[in-house]
Amino acid sequence: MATLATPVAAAPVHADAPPTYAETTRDVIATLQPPGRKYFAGMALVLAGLAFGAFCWGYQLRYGLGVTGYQPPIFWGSYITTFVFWVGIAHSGTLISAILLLFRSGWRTAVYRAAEMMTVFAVMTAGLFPILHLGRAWYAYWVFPYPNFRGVWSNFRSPLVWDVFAISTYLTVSATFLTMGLIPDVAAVRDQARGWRKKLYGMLSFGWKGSDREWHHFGRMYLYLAGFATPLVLSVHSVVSWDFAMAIVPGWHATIFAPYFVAGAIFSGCGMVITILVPLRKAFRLERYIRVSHFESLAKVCLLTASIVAYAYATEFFMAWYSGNPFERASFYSRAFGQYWWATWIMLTCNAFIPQLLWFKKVRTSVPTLFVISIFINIGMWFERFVIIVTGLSHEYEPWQWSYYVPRWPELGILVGSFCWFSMWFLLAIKFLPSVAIAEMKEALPPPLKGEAHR
Amino acid sequence: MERRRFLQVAGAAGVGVAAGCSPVSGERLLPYVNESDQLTPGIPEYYASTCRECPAGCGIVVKTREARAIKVEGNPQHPVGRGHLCARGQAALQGLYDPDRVRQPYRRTARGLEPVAWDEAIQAIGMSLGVAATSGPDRVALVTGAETGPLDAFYDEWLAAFRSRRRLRYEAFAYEPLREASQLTFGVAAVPEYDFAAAQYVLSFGADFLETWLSPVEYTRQFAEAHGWRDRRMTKFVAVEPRRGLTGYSADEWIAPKPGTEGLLALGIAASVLRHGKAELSGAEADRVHGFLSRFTSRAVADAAGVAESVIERVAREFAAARPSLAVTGGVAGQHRAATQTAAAVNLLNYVAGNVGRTVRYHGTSPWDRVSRYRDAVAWVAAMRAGSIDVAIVQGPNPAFTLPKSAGFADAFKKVGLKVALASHLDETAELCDYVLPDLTPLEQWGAVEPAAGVRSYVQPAMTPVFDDARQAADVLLAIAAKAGKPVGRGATGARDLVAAGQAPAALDHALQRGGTFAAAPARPVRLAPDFARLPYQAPAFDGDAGAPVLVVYPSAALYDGRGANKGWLQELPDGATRIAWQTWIEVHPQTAARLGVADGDVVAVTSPHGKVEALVYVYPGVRPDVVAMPIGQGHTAYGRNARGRGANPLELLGADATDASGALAFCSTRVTLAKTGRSVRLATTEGSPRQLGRGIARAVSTAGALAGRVEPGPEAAVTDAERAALAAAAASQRARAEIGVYAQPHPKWEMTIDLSRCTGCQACVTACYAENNIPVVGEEQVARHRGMAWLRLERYFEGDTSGSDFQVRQIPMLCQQCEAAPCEPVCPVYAAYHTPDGLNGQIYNRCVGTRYCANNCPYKVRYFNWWDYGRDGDPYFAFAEPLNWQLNPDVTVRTKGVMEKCTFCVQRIRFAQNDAKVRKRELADGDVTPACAQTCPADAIVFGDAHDPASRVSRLKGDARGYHVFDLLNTRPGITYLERVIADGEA
Amino acid sequence: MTRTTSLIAGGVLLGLTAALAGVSLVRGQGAGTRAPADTAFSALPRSAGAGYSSLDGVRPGGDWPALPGRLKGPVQPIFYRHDIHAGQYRIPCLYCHNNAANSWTVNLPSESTCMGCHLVTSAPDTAGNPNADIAKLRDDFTKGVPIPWVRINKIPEYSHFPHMRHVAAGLACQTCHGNIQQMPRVFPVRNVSSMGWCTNCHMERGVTRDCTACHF
Repeated sequence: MATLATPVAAAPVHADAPPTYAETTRDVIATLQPPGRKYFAGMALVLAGLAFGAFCWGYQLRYGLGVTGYQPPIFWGSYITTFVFWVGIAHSGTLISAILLLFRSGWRTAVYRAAEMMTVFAVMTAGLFPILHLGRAWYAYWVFPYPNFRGVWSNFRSPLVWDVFAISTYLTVSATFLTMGLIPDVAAVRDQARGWRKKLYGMLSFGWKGSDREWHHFGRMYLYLAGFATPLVLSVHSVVSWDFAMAIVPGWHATIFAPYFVAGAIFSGCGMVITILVPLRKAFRLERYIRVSHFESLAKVCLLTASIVAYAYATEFFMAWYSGNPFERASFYSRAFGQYWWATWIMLTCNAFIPQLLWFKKVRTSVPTLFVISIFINIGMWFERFVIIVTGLSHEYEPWQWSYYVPRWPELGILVGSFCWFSMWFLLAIKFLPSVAIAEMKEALPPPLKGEAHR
Repeated sequence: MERRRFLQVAGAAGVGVAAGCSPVSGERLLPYVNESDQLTPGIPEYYASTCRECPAGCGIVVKTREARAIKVEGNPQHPVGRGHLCARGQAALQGLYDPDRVRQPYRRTARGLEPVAWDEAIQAIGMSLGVAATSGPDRVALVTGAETGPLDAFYDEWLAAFRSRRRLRYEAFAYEPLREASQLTFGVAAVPEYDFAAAQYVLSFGADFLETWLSPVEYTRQFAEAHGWRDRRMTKFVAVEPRRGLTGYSADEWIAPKPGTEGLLALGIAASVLRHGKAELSGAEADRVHGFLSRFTSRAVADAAGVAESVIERVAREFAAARPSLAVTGGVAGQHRAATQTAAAVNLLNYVAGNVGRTVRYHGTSPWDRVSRYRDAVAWVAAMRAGSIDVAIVQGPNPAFTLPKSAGFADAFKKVGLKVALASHLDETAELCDYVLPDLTPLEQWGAVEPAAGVRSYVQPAMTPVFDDARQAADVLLAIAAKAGKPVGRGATGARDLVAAGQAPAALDHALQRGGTFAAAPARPVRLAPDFARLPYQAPAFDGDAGAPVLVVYPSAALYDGRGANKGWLQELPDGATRIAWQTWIEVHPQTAARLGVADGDVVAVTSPHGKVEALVYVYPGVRPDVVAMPIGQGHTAYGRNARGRGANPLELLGADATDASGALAFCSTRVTLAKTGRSVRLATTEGSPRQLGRGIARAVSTAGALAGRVEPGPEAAVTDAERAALAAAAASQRARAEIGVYAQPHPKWEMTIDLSRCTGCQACVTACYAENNIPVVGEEQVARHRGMAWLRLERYFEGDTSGSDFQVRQIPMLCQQCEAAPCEPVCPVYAAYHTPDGLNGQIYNRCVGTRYCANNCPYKVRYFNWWDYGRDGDPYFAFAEPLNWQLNPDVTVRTKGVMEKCTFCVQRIRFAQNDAKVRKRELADGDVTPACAQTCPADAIVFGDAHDPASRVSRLKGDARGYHVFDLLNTRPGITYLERVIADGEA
Repeated sequence: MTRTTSLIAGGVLLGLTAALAGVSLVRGQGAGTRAPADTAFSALPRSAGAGYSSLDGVRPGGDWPALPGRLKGPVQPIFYRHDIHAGQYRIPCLYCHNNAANSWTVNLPSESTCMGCHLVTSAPDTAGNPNADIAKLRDDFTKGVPIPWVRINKIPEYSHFPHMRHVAAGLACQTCHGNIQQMPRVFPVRNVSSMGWCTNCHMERGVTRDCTACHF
């Protein structure tokens, strides 16, 4: 495998000293060195998991959805839960890279590249699930409005069709945004690469030379894309939330859903960013670039969104009681104290209670603690969707049709598979693309004094 | 050969549907060599016949397509059933096409049953019959079911030819007590004809006349006439039984006496009627009755029966006040050691109230007169044990299963030299036989029965036999007799000749077309016999230790005496009362359950002095705390894939010598102890919550309320006028926006009304729907996971305090409501669910991609998803194993895995009628289209039609004051209007 | 020898009865101002005496349309030439496929129907030997063996097509099945299996396009 010119840097003498431009370039590019045994071990594990997920889906395609735990009237379960989960994960990426850019908040520079990668891969994962959960997945394309001789069309009144457009748009834009932002960094890598890598990066950097004009246009374009992506952060997850809000199922049919889902999405997204950055930072010794202060900022976003989500929970229960609607009341009572109490209380604990620890600076600034909390957030947010979907369906209008559902192994297999699919892409990306934005890092550093560059 | 060709032609039209998609490439079409003038591919042929699934003998019409029977429906011209049919009758098709049928003759050798040629078998049997006949009289036994008419006579003649009179017309449920009691009280050993329609007050002492008792379909029809709310009045129905079954659900009042004391209650009520001078008696007769009844004071009876004295007095007043009233008894569940006394007491009560001759009529004969009594069956077993029978031929019944184990049938049967089974299935009895000769099922047979006085109802084959090698029993017997050189049947060569004997061909054809000859038979007056009081009148004894609960064993409305156990439709049909399918449960009162520490689904060992079985606990408020109940029908050790090794047979718990004065088996004769096994099983029930929590799903009012025009308020009652106005406005705008394209033209709007005052919850509609719409049978495990596919389900909710007997049961058939503003339609991304111009919620199976969003959004939960590939051969859940797939309705798509399906008001019938009308250049008339459920409903509770036609029945009914829509507050505007049930509150 | 003659005699009777049955069905079920026989026939070039009387005009050995170089469509057990029967001799479609007028599905003619003519006509060659395929037909008929025709047209199980209604509406069979009367050997025409064909026609004629008209 072709290698890069710069040797791996030894750990700097005093870690907290701000790195110089040269160091930045060197250290970041160092992350693209040929991977070690650990990396391949991890990759093998991930591929194995992915293979198992694929097997589960094949099994389901062969015998039908009967292999899942679905128990009418609970017709949606872990698949839609996981779908919403991944769409949610995707959101913080765009938030951090686009919205925070518009807000000119400097701390994003260190983390946004990883966050954007996460976004793209999360959407790629999420996009699988609407197909996975179909009874006849091989006809999934019927959902698209393609011209045909028979005069049949897709139903634009159906939130599922809105989903199709929302997700595909989001994937396109976030992918564009990522590639765009990569150009200068890829160029930097290109200059030091040899062999086929040079060709690859050459293509990806679109012949970037770093001239003023290029920087000027780049800045403008980047800003424009940021502005373009920002509304999507709000719209996409609102549309996803309407899958539920547009239905008349008690516990789904609520106007609060759009903001509630968006907040939840950003919450889970930031949680996932922390979960990913902590090991990344450790593995690549990026402590000097991804600093504790960055984690603290992420923690603050988590705290804010967690509080919004908690408020949304409270509102839901309050409205169920206040509306006087017997069906809503019964549904939410069963949510809290019915068969699914366990799921509900996992959700509340992880999303509403545990994040309150972030009020304490000690907690916010302790990376290990943050890591643990972020794991809880991920679990909690998966269960939030599970609770909304499953408890809602399990306790609907017809008492005679109340029922109980727990996922079966093919569903869990596919859930694991989805995580592996995501990790696979991420592992590949960090070895081929700079996972920290070199150029923007430098913006945040003190400019080099005369001659220092040669030190 | 002929049949083959039929099938091959049908193959082209039908088999593709059945076996799923088969490519045109290589597919062959085989035309007739000689065209049939009867059969037009694509157009159904109908044959009138008689249902033989139970002795009731309802008239049926068999619908055939391409020479295959695909549907059984009632014969409107027939006096029994009048065009309606029960679930068992609907399921006759699954007996016809059962893959487990005996397909060829077998002979038992050391290596077990082995195929044998017909001639060989007939030769051998004829030989041994000849020997038996020469070796002495009565060495040959012939066992059949409750036969009447020419074949019955033929069987006797045949037997006589072999010098034997050992004829057993064996029925597990033979209603001996009714006959004996009639003999005692009126000197007529016959089952009377009851007229529920004319009764102003019905008092049932444990008779399940809406399930299995005598003629359930006809009685359901009559009962619905009387008990349904019409002209602002109705008949009150009081059920007196320790276990409240499906029939009891229709009761306006449930009185739960101690088991065995029903007779005393009847006498107590009669005495009270007499005391209040309401009796229609006079002279010496009155004195005699007085003298007899004087000791049955309400107090004494109340103590004995555990029923409040006031209740007895009140019921007596009501019963006497309503003229004519009707008291019935004799249900299997209430058949204990004092069953005859109970029946006699009820006869007396009817006589005292002057019902005899009005609602209780005696004819010269009844189809039950000659049915053997349990006593006779026991005598037959004894004879076999004594070795005095050389040849036993069993045609139809299955004594090895229906006789209590302690009767020792199996051992005695082994002592018979030659045992021959003329059976369509290899059931427990057939498995014991030396020869098993394949019999035809009733839909392939010739025959004639007399189900009621003056009625001669014909059985004719609706198609050529499914299996070439099967022959009708009568034909085989003729052949055997011929071989044995004993000419019988006056030169008849087959069953048809026997049936046709002595009739002009034209007359016969006419009768066959109508289904039979129906003459009104005059009732004959009866007087009270002098020695009616011969028997001792007290509560019967029960085996087992006094503390333990009494076991009530009752016939399953679906499986009857077990003969239905191999029919998937009947196995999957939830029990009327417990709503459990496929399993054997034991009903335990909540208090008893708490005391024993058992819960739903716990496996308990049920032990009686005579045997031990295992059953699943179902905690059920419909039984007394000192009673447990189990259904008959499961626990087969043979018979077929659906029956074998499933559940338990409670008859194993009974003492064979526990009989009553009429020599009937006392099904309710022993106490049992329940012991936990520690195991627990998921109940295969459709029940989610037994309470409707005031959601106004199944509604009811009292007669007083109905007269005052009150309706039970649903949850939508909270909606204010402003909100109502808003809803109406929204509806109007929706309609306006819907008036585009094809929707703009004038169309019919198909709607339905369901009268809950008539519906008894018998679920005939459910099975009819299975038959009409190719609904797959999914099996116990899937049903337990709420994956049953029945498009139409009966929901059963308890109302009121279920700790005692004072609670109401609400039932409602729930099917697709065909909403005008259907929540399922807008959410489908591909328009598989959409609104048809004629007001249906269309479901296009071939367009569905299976997002299941529609099902989530359906508040009525009436959409069903194909979790497996039920229609594909080789799939683990393939539901139409050859030849069951012959029954598939060619007009209905067999759904593949991954698609949603649901009720569409039998849209195929609508389209068929519309096309037919169009081709004939005429308009559709009201009643031209009838969905399968409405067609079969014995209570005529379901009415279907065009709501845009103001003259149609449905238009008139939906305007009824009792009409309501389920979940009206959701503004779905359903196409089904339910008419709420009216519950008689008796004297105010 | 005698056996065959008696069989043939029986065949004549059966054939005629079948033919009559067919005719009566068509006439009886037509229920239109125009007899469906004609409507089905209407797409063909009209000529005097067309219709059932056309049987009389049968001239065995008359000059038949020449066979093209290569034939489309699957090889059938008997080389039945629609171009001769429906084309040259102008036998109405409904004469043999009579159920199209009164049923959803359409029948293939029974052998007895074929024998109605082919007892008499055998298209002998110059040597007087009957045409090989007709001989095979007669043989099968006497043996009582049905002809295993290869299926040409089929719509999927999930769609239901009421033939009688389209015939009653005066639609020519050729509209969907192509110019059968010009096909020496019948081959599938895409129209039958494409929903677009149905919907377009229904659109043009302004008749229902409701899905449940066909799909249930």
